[in-house]
Amino acid sequence: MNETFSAGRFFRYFLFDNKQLWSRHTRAIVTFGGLGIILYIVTVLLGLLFSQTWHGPSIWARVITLAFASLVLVFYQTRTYGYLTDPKAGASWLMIPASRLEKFLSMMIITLIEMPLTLLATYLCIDGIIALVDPTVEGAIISSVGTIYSQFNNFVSQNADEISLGITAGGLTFQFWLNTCTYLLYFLLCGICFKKHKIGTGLAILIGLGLLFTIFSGLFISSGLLESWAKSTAEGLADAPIEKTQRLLNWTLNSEFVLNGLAVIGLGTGIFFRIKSLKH
Amino acid sequence: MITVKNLSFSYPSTEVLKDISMEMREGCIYGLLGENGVGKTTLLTLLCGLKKPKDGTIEIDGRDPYKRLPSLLSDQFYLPDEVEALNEKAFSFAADRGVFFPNFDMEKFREILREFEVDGEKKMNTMSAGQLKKTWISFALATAVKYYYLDEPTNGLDIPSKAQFRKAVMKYAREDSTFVISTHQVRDLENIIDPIIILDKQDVLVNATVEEITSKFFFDYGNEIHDDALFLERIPGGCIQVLQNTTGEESKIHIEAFFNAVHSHKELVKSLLA
Repeated sequence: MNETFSAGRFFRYFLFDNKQLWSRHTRAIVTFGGLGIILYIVTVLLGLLFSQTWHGPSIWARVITLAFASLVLVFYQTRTYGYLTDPKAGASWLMIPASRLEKFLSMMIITLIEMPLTLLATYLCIDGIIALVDPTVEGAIISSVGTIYSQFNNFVSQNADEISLGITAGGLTFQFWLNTCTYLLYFLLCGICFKKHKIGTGLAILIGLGLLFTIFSGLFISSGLLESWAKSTAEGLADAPIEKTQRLLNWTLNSEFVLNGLAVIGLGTGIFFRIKSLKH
Repeated sequence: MITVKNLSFSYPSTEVLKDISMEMREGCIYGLLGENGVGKTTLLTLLCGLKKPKDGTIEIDGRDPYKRLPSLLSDQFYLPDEVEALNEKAFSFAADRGVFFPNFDMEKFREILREFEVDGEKKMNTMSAGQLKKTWISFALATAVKYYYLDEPTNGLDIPSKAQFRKAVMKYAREDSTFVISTHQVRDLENIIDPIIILDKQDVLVNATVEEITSKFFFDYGNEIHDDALFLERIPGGCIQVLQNTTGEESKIHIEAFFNAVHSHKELVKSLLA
């Protein structure tokens, strides 16, 4: 028997994990996905109440609500596998005959792909249905996203001679998804590490890290090193051809991509070792 | 075969197990006894790999349980004192988890549930504590694994269920299965546990079969009081006395009396059973 990974056993475990997940969290995910309906009803009711007109929410209001739903999903990760810190449920989970790697992979697929996609699909489907039924809503988000995508890609390709951005709309979306993954994994890790106040502790650590970063940045700025660097860079940029600015922009985008990738790998490793060291 | 060598474990503020060594053979039902806080549950969780020993080793057929290898996990079952009440029907719960145990038999699960008079179509989080425990016991027995670690399995069971539990263990367990049952309710399991392990604070006082115990100790249920009794308890119609067996006479073990005798004469009992 392969003790590290067996495709058959992983498949069995993945199905089991999914069933457990959906039996625990379907209601919550559907609620997050259905926030669009709540927004629609509230907007229409307020419109009828104050201006006696029937008008659905604007596309921006719906996009902001989607962002809010995504934020809630990020915090919700503390609950998805939060039961692992509970002695009864956690012990029961640890005793399921699957390897640590299989349990970890299933957790990653569910957290990084399945849950965000389900939320997004539910939200966009509901939004699409509302847009189809009510013409005052001014089109579905999904159709607008398509338009923005093609406009961005057209802009980049048409101005390729002047601006050579090494990224497409798809690349930017991937960048955004990777950034979201960092937060999803961070709160998942908080969920399986802390027994109580999982969100609060997670936020407190983030705030603490932010403060530390601010303090170090302040020290760095006050040292005068940044000033001379900024001056030379600004002078360099002012005199440099457009390619240099583009290179700097691309370098920034690539750095963010690398940093997010490293954060995802780091947090993933942390989660794997937390699974490995869980005791009850 | 379970081999424990120089096992030590401590919680941040308390040392629970210290330099424990013992062996457990295949096909036996071990009764793990001890006072509150001596580390019975801790030992069970160490045996099944839920905790990591501070020092020493545990080997289950040559494998370290803390590595939680799938091959070992699918050959063992840990039943805690307090079991999880899931939001699913008992049948669905068994079907979902049973796929991980190669010897799991759904028909056997249904049969044991029937004997326990538990409705398998009922959601587990709506069951009473006793029904829930019986569901988990039924599932455990239906998995037909080699190693069972049961923590107070009869807690919460009514009187008929306790008898059904004993019957089910004898009827459905594999012949080569090893049970380690931690319990305070020795009378519930008196007829099925053999050998007996008595844990003390940081020591194993007894790890012996009933036959070995009765060859060294005599259990007198008569009225005549013996001055040299290691333990004496008056009961209606007579008394129970634990004496050293110097004549080789046979007697029926009374685990509770033996446990008390061990606790008041630790060194003597240890030396006699060594």
